[in-house]
Amino acid sequence: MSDFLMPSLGADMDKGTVVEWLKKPGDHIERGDVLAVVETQKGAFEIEVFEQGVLSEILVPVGTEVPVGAVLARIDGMVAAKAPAGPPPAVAPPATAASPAAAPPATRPIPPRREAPRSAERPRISPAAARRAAELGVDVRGLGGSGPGGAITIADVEAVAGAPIVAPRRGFDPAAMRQAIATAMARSKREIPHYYLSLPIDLGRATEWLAEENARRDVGRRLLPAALLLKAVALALREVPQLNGFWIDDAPKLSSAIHVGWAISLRGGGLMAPAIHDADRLTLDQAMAALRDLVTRARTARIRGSEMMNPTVTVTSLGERGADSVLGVIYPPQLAIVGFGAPRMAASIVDGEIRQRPMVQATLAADHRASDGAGGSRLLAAIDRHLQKPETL
Amino acid sequence: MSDAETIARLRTILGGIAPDLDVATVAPDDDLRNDIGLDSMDFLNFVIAAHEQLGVTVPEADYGKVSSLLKFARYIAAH
Repeated sequence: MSDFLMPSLGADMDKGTVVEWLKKPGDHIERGDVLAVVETQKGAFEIEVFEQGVLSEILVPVGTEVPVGAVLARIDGMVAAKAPAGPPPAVAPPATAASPAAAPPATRPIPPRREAPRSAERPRISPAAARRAAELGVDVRGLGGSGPGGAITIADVEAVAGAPIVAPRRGFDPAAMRQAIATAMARSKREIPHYYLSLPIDLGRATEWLAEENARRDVGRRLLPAALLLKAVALALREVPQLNGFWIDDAPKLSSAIHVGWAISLRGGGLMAPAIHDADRLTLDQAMAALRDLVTRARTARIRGSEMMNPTVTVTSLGERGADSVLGVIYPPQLAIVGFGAPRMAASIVDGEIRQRPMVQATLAADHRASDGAGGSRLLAAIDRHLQKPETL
Repeated sequence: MSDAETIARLRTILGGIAPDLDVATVAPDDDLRNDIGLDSMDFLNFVIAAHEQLGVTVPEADYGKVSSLLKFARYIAAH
């Protein structure tokens, strides 16, 4: 028997509301199944289970708000499996922090769900994609996946179904999101001694390589510069591990896995930075598929709890229409945030001549308790080096 | 298909890739990037969805020619 707890989905979360149970007592559950949807200040997230067994009892009914760590349900476990490595639950914000009014219990109708088709040999598919497949009536057996390790993604399922019929964002309250960001960012600036570095990087080779590559690719397989930036940062972090991990209990806790939190700006206001797991081990195509999948799910509130729990670093890319550079605020308890401004054509000196080149300002904000400027400089230099060899990313 | 009909279909497709957008408010000549705020990922998803549902293939080099619903509809009519 084990407990299924209200998880901490980040430094800014101290409580959450169960808005949906996707399994009922007696149901068999497998590792990775989404058991519940939990609403936080940042919106609704799908909470997976990390063991297999039978759901024996639900203790927290839909619509109930409980603190992080509260027991939501009990599971008769058969094989215990480790939860993904992440920072321990964040310290609750001080009592003096303005606490937003509790979200009213969800009253929206919950659409009926059908179980995803199961075959003896289950294809590799994310829980969210499996549910999407069930909603759209897509049979995923034999379907090729474009996600990590050939996993079937939401995009793959929707491609088969033809039309993306996307549900609107669940449980999103811009004011609550603002409060969540305020809590995390105030804690960051209060506790983390940031230092900042920047480096202009020539994107000429990467841009040319991308244009050639995309010209011979099908529409659905085109790459965006973001995939190159993601991969370059992940590979660079392997070389400078002191920037990847957390600061916990007055000491660095470095992570060997590189889970890149990708900052996604939400049109309704606010942002989130869910993790792309093991980004250094993805091929460029997998990185692109993971980014597409993540952005799509962020827009429709289908981000999984595990993606909010354990990013080991954050990357924020302002995109083509953004400002020149961004000096980020570290998301606690992480150690660093890498930023990319908008690429711009600029005069650059190449081989002793002034040339017009597409330049991007790469920046790093890092926790000076855990690393120094020399290490930070090595990270930016490594990112630059990887971006000069796009064909090897 | 008239431009107006194509625009209506494109608007539905846009709603699919940007569910957090009120597509009814998108005017035919609004710039999808500058006025509507689509980022490069949204725009790529839009081009992919248009390819899947309308059969139109827009090379990357032509993205500037499909930057609004009206321009996209005219691009489809011409190709």
